[in-house]
Amino acid sequence: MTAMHNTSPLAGFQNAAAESNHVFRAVLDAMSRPGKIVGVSDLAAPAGLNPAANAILLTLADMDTPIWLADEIATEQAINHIRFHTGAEVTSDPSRALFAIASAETAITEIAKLSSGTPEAPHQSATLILLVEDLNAAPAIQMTGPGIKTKETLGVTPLPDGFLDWAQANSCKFPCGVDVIFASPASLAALPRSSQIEVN
Amino acid sequence: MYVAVKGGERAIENAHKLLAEYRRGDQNVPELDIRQIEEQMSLAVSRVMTEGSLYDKELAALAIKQARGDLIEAIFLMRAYRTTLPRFGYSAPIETSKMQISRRISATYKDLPGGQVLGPTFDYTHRLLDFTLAANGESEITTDEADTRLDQNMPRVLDDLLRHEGLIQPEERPENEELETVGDLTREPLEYPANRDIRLQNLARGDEGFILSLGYSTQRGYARNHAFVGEIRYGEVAVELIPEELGFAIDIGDIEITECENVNQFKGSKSAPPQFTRGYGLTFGQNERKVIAMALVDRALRDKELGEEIIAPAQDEEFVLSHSDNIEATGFVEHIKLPHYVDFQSELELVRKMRRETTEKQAAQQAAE
Amino acid sequence: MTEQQTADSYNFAYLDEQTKRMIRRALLKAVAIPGYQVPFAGREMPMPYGWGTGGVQVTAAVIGPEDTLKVIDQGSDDTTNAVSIRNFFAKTAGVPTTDKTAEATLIQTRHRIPEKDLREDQILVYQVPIPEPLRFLEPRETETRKMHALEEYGLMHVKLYEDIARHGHIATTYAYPVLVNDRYVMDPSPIPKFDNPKMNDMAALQLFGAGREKRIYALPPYTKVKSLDFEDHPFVIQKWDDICGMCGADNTFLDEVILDDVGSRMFVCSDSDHCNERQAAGHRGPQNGDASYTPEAAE
Repeated sequence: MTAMHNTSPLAGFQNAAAESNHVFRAVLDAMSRPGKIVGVSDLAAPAGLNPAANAILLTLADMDTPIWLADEIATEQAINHIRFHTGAEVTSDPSRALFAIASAETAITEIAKLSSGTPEAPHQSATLILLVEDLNAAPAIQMTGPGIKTKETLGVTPLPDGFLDWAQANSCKFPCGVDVIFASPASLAALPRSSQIEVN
Repeated sequence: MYVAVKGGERAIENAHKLLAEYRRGDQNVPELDIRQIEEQMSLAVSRVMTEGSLYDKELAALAIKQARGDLIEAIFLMRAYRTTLPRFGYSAPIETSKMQISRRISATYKDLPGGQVLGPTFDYTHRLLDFTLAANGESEITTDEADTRLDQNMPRVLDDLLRHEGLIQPEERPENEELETVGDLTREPLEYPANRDIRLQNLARGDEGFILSLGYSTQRGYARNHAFVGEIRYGEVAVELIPEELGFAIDIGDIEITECENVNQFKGSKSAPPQFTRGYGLTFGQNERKVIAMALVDRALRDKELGEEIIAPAQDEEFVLSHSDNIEATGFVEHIKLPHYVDFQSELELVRKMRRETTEKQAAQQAAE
Repeated sequence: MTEQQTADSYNFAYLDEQTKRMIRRALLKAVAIPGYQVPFAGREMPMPYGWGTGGVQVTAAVIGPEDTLKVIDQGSDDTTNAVSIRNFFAKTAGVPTTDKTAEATLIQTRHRIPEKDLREDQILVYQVPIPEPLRFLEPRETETRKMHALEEYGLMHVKLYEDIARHGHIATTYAYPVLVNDRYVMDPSPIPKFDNPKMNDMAALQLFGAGREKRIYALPPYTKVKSLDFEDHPFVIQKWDDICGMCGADNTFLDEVILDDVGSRMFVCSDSDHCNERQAAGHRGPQNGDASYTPEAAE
């Protein structure tokens, strides 16, 4: 993999219908059951992204979905890879993005610029894909709400400074708000706007 | 003993076989050829292409044959096929001023540059059944050479003639026309308020009968806005595509279209001097009824732009655009023939319960009296 | 001449990948905003609007090679439209199909929820004709959209209360409106109100597709779904004086079957799989060899 030219796109799905269905079902399962950790297939990712985030973009992004990448993610290889495989516009304006990719290094002030929709059209909002290392470490976030039988916990790390405050404020905007997918290299979990969170 | 209904699968298979048999009719009668439909049922083909949103005469003819002549069913077949086609690119706007004219008339001028060209029209036929056609006794058809030689200069009435004096409402071009994408109902959900591009697309795809009746209603006083046909032209225009890698337009073929521009009653305001307003209609193939009606309804729907009071159905964007599509309409109207016995059972249970309660109440009252 | 299209020339589950992506994005938004109707660019399907094109598009976007599909209409797997939709996916997706609720991973339904409790590993897809619960009170989308935004549901309560004043009952027996997660009033699709309680806190994910109206909405598992009612007129489900003539069940939704033209009738479970399963387990109803049954004894 490392021997490849820095900017040439890596391979995408071999069988688009089957593989994208697989990834979609993982994301749907995660979004339907906030806090549930779901595995995704291993697909080589360009510098900047990780395999799970890459798989999500290849499954859901296309020319109708502007994507915003935080600075540390917007490598030339990542941008070329996304453009080549999805045809999506990579935008420098977070407020226009339908998908946003960020990490612990991203300033929360940038994340706060993402669109959370309007009361009449709350679906016109961004989905934030946050690259993380681990979904199961301490300290835990406790979650309640639709999709959760009693309570769920997640130990996502690392997070951007101020993320939990932002996330609590985000859930207070319901039905507006940003939906978050935490993407560790091989698995993902979701925090939709409908979840109430408490921090241990 | 009661046995639950089974055999849905076999019933469907048999229904399809019967349908094929009924479609074919008496097998002693020669089968229709697609080419015959394409050539001799050309106005049906026009309608199916227009409302099916797909310019392909051969497929439209096939759809008409398969649908046993039910044009809405044929339109449905075209739409369902169209959805599966990949999109290669977007054409440049067609130039109807450069049309190869087959017919061109204006009601607003006695004569005009390029002249009135009657072309193929039913307008002055006497509606007498032609029994020579019934006997397949076609006489040889020849057209006069002189009649088909047309003037090369055929300016469009509204834009090229009326506009000089500023008498007609100008069609504003968006400031950044290059950046403005034209909406597409087949790729995005219809949302209100809708812009004119979406309204025109909706009307062009809309049911001919529905648009006709709405247009008629405006003439009879429901949002009356007296209209003259400024111009109808029917003929062939070139479709051009500008591939990104080439950067210039290439001609990818010709299509037949009918275009109508209506001139409507003048309007003026404090800021704008009195001027005529306009409505626009366009279809594939030849269909004057549809383009005239479409232009009437387009004009009626420009109420907000012109600051008019909304008082009639044809002006009501949500009413018109939500009910114009005959595939949606026929589906929902006809779906009530599907099984609904669960819901009906629920209603039965309630009606019986309410009747029982009424009877009991009456009995109690009588006992008390 | 264009070649005749065969099933092989279409993509897996008929829809192209671009269309599936668009529907999948709408589904994820729907799940994140339970009960809110997400507009989507519904496509023309090779079956008429009103025949379940919304449900079919949702199923096509969700179904994978590992799924087992069940399709019911009026609770039965053998109604003609259920047969037709099942065959469509058997042909275009090549997935196994089943009549057994317990064996299915994906269930597409029109007008019923199966009697058997659904599990976490199952998804229920509803076909929806009119997704807007307020539509019959206010025909304009521009208005109903505002009412949802402002949580302005007074009109709905007024309508239900007028029913009570006039009839002594809420006169809605199917498509009975529900409040989701204490926020959105939602149309549960035209299921009988008998089925409404099953939606509450269901372990399975519930997805709703309205093709003609181009809306998708969803209920994540374990979501609070409350049928609208009043303190003095609580929500109640239908009850029958009879039991199922075939399996003897006294707690299922029953179809009335007319036996002759002089008023004889019997009642049978609308959920055909549930009824068959009970019969296989030895349960018998009065028209199926249970001589001990009399209507009086059942009461």
